[in-house]
Amino acid sequence: MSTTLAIALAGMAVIALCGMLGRRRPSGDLADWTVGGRNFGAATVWFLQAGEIFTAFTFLGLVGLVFTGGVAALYVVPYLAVGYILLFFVGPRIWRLGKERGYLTQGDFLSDRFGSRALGAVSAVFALLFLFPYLQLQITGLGLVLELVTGDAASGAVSMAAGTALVVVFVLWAGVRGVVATAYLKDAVTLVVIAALAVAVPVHYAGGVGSVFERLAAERPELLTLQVEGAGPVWFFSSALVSVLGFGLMGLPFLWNSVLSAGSARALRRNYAFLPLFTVVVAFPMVIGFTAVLVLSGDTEPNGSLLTLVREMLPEPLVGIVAVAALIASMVPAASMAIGISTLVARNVVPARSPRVQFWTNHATVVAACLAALLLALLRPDLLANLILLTYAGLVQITPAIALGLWRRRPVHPWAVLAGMAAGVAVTLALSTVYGAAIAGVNSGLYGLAVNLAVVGAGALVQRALGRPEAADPSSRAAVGAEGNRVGRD
Amino acid sequence: MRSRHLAAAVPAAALMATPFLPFLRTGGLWLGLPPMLVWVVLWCLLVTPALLFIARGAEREEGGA
Repeated sequence: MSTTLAIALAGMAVIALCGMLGRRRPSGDLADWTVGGRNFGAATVWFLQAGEIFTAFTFLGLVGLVFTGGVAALYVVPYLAVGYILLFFVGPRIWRLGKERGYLTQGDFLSDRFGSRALGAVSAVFALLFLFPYLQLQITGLGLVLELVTGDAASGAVSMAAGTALVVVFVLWAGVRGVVATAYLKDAVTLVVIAALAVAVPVHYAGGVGSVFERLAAERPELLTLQVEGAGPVWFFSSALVSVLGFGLMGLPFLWNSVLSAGSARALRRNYAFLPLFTVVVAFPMVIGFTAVLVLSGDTEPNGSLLTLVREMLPEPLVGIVAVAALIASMVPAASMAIGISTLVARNVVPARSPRVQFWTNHATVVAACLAALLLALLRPDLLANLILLTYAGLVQITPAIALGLWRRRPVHPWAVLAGMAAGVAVTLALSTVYGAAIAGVNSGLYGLAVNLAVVGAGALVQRALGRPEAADPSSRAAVGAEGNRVGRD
Repeated sequence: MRSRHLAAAVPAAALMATPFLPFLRTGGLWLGLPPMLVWVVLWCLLVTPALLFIARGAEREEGGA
C-alpha cells in the first residue's frame, strides 16, 4: 500500500470517527436526528452552512471549469453572494414556520403551506430525482481523488467503498449532529489546504500569481474575456441566475437541515450576512485552474487538473494530506445529501404516519440510497452524467412553490402549483435530452421555469375568474402531534 | 419591502450584471489580476455590510415591537 493511500484511508477513518463523536448514543427520534433540537448556535450553523458551499465541486470541479472555460467559472461567486442575499430574507421566515409547525423537510413545508400531501409527495419525488445524481457525484469524487493521486484504479474503488460505508455508519449513528462535528474539521482542513495550494502551485509552476495572469493575458486572452465557445456572457448569466434561484429559494433539499436546526432567526440572519465573506475563498481554486491552463496539456481530464499538478509538485505524504482534504469535501456533503434524501422519503413519499415507522424507513433509505449510489459509481459511472448537469435546472422548478408558500395567504390552488412544477420538470428534461444542458447559451432550467410560471399564472387567473377566495394562512391553524410529526394532513 | 432593503439590491445588481459590463472584458489586468475577478470579489465583500445594515434595522424594529 502506498503512503498516499494509507494516509487517505486513515484520514477517512478520522472523519467518520469525528462524525460519530457528534452523539454519545444513536438517536431514536427522527426530529432530533434531522434538525438536532432546533437549538444550534450561530457558530455551529455557520460551519454547517459554510460547509455546504465547499464540496468536491469547489475543490476539483471549479479548477476544471476554469481549465476549460476561463473566467466564466466566476459565475459561482455572484450565484453564492446573491443567493445569500435571498436566503437572508427567506431563511428566517422558513425557520419561524418550521419551528411553529414542526417541519423537517422541504416537502413538509409545501404540504403544510398548501394543505396538500400530494404536492409535498410529488415535489419530494422530483427533488429525489435531481438530488440522487448529486449524491453519486460525491461518491464518484471519492474514487477519482485516490485514482488520480495513486495512479491506480483499484485504489479508487477501495476509496469509494470505504468512504460510502463510513458515511453510512456516522450518518445513521449521529444524523445532523455528525455532519456538524465533521463540518468543523472539513472547513478548517479544506480552507488551509486550498489557501496553501493557491500560493504554492502558481509559485512552483509559474513564479507567482502575477506571472500566471501576465502570461495568460498575453497567450490566452480569450480565457479572461468570456470568449470561450459555450462559456460566454449569456451562459455566465443564465447559469448564475438558475443557481441563485435554486440556492436562494431553498430548492436544494439538503439546505433545509441547517436552516431548521438553527436556534434563532437572528443567528440565521447574522450568518447569511457574513457568509459572502467566506465565498471569496472560491477565488483560490480559480487561481490554481489558471495555472493549470499554462502547465497542463489540453487533453488533461479537467476535474483532475488540481490533483495532477499536486502529484507532480509535492512529496507523497503531502499529496496524501491534499487527498484527505478532497475526500472530506466529498464525504461531508454526501452525508448531508443522504439525510436530505432519506427524510424526504420517510416524511413525504412513503405514506407512514407512525413516528417509529418513519424513523426506520428513514434509516433504511440512508443505506439503500448510499448503496445504490456506490453501485452506480462503480458499475455505470456515466449513467447519470446528464442528470448531474440538471441538478440545479431541475430543483429550480420547485422554487415557485416555495416562494408562493412564503405568502401569508395561499395565492394559488395547490393543483396549479403542482401542474406548473410538473410542466417545468417535463420541459427541462425534454429540452436537455434533445439539445443538452444549455440552448443558445441559456440554461435549460430557465425555459422550464418560464413554462412553470406560465402554468401557475394561468391557474391563478382561472381561480380568480371562478371567484374562489385565497386560502387563509395555514400557520393560523393549530399545530398538532409530536415535534417533527405535526404536518402532512389534507 | 422597506427602503433600507435597497442596500442589498445594489451589490446584487452589480454582481448579476458582471458578464455584460464591457470594461471588465478588455483583456487587460487590474492590480495584476483579471478585472472580472477583482470586480466580483469587491462586490461580494460589500454584501456583508449591506446585509448587516438591514439586519440592524430589522432587529431594532423587532426590539421596539
